[in-house]
Amino acid sequence: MDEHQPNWKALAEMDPTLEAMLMAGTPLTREDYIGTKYGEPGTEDYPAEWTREHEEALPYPFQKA
Amino acid sequence: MASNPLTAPSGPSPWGSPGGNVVPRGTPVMRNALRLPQSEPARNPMLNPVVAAPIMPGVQPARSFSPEGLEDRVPTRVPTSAALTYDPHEAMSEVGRHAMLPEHFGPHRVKSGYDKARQNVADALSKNAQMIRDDYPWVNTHGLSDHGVLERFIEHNHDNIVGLYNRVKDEPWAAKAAHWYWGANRMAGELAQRFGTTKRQAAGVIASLSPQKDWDENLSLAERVMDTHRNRQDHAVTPEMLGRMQEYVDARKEGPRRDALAQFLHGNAAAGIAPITKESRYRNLAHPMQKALFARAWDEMHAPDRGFDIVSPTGERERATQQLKSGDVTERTAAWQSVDNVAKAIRILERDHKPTLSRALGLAHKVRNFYNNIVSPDAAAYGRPDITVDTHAINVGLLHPMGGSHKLVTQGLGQAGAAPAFTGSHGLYPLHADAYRRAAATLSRQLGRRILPREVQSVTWEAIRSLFPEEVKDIDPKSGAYQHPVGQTSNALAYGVRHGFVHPSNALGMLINTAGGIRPPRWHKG
Repeated sequence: MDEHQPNWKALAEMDPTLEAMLMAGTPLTREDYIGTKYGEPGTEDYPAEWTREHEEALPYPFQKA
Repeated sequence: MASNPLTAPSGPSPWGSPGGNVVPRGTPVMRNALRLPQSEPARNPMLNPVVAAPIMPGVQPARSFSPEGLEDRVPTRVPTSAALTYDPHEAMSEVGRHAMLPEHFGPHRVKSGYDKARQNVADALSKNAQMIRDDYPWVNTHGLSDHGVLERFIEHNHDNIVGLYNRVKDEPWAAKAAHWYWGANRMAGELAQRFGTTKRQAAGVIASLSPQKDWDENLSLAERVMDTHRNRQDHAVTPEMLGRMQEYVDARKEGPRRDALAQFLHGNAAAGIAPITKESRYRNLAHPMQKALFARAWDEMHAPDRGFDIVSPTGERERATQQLKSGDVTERTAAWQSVDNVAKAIRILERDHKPTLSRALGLAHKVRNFYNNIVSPDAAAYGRPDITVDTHAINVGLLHPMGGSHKLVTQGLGQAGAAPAFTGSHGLYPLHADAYRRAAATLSRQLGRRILPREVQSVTWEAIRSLFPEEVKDIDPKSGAYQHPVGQTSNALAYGVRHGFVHPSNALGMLINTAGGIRPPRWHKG
């Protein structure tokens, strides 16, 4: 294990969406995370405007640098 | 052997026994002897309050600090590297400038690869400093080292925070705003009492449901989740709820994204998760995500009242309403949190265990500090200066009207800069937090009484929300230039101060004049 890579297990302990993705074998990408958490654009829970708070709520490996 | 005069018998006892360490009656008092002051009779704190100030619900006297909740605080930054030598949820790491510095990052913190990790932290420091040089042209960083840039950034924010606080500190609403977190603490206590949890669980539920929510809606959602967890353990899932849960799943794209949520509705035998059916009861659901689906679906399909209240810092409530385009006024409805944030709240409710609570709060500095400020509002008086920095708090420090998606807000709180895996320190949050801490120290000296960082934050937070309502934050999407006169003025004044055309003490007054003054918060009944 590369110790300088994200510790997905530790992150999943803090994030039920990530835990669900690991359980279901969902690819660990930014797009899949957002799609799993909020659904698709235009659906009820998808943010009308993508704000800093939404960005901040992403696990850091998925945040835009 | 010479006898010890202190232990030797002092003479006949007045009670007739032969000797003893008793001073006989009538012994004269030595001249110039030290006389101890008479101690006061023990007070009953319920009958004789220590401070004679008027007692307000949720309000602590200015000079009396409570250690309540200190033991319930969580670390405000959580490193997530697999190389850590310690459990970051057990260590009480705090977010501040120190966490950004490579010299603060010792070799004892990682199992291996220290040089690489330290370099990573140093690179992040340089990246953050360069970001300040590039994107904050009105912060004078000319000729400064990376460390100097961080210091100047803190000082710039500090000056604006102190200026705004001094402008509004004597307003009739400021005293209540200063104790906003005691009000939140009291409300957490009320929720805990109503729903049979500890106060830290209630505070954790509130904080975990806070992202992207105003306080009033946040509080309403906390109440709803706690109500379901307490009072609907034996409720069965209804057909309407099942249909609603399926709608949540159907909002996900077919494939692995949908599977991730569908496994909680339709079951995942490999993970030991049974499907949710009409026979399922809340208490029998195995996973917090399933309980979150239940809580939300029940509320959306069966709750008799989905409105919420505006709550003042001292607990007064009034119904939240909105005016429609037609002119009619209707009650606002509490919009739900994402299912995973509800699951975090339920995880907190299922087990009163601090490490569990700490994990459920996630990584965001703001959420973690918000929890700490609620559960232990006076922690700063005991050396734990937690500070909740959000969009409005950044606007105070930079004195610019910025919305949640503005570049500088994004940089300030989120993803700008790297190395969170080793330090857990995100973006410029540590600098904004230190600016409030320093402002509190400055104001305490100026005003001659102890002022806590969270007081400075909550007072200036109310002021800036009035000074910069949403409509003044509009920017041109291409150029990034402000479109409203207030935004344009704030930008021009910032440059004026930077280049010496405007005296800093005049800039704030000019901005307030342009904005038409600072109005009281909506909860204030003046």
